[in-house]
Amino acid sequence: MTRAKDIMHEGAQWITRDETLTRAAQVMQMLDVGALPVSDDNGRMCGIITDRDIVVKCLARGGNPDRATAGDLCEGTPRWIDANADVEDVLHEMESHKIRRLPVIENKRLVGMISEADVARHLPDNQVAEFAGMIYSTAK
Amino acid sequence: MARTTGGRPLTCRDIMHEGVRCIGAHESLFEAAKLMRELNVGSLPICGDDNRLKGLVTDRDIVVECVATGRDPASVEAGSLGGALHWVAADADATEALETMEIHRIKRLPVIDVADGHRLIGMISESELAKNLTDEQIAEFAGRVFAAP
Repeated sequence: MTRAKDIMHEGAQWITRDETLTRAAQVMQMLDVGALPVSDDNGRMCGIITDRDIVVKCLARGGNPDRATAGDLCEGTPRWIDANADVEDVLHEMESHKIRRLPVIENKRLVGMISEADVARHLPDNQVAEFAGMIYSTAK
Repeated sequence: MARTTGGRPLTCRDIMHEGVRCIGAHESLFEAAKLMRELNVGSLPICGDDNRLKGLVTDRDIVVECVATGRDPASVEAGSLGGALHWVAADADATEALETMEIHRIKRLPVIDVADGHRLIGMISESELAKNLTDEQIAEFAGRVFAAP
């Protein structure tokens, strides 16, 4: 069985919810990533923010990224997957919620992330194609 | 749409989506952000005063090149962003769009009608590819392009 931790990439980094979006942008630039998990004061994940969130939920509304925080952009139920979950469950989670990045949690700690690139690298062509069809049917 | 049954290969015109909106090169990134939100798109072609395509600005460009550097999006012109400009001719084979996107690792490609005044007439994104390509082509594309953030 292929598990979530077999296809994830390690070294995912959090930011805490009270950090500014300017800081979040700098971390995204530095790590060359498009999404960051956000943690609360107790180290629990409260959401994930993307570069696009900063643009459409802050800048486009006239917000100031020096004042708005990562926590301001977190909404809804944060999606994640257990490190030992089957890869089928990973795909189901990403397809059904049309999300491109999934945090991987083990013993309540963030141990990695699964992105579309990880899926493409580790799965056979037919699964990648089905995944792409589901995820990108709403891609802009 | 001219998708003949006679086995003619798909062209870029066949698979693109039409109705592209541009951001003016002298408009601000604040305006670009508002337009991206309004249109629910992740990138906008940048058009010069001559209405010709000058570049492409993505939501990520705004974050990495403006917000991360502490600049005010309202005072940065869209035309100051946008790296190398890639596009395809409307009548080129659709596989040319795929190759261009793979080689340059880009997810959105402007389509230009060369014969009709070199006008920007559409865009090809990953969703158009997903609808029109074979499983093998999509898998290869995904493997190459989605390695980028």
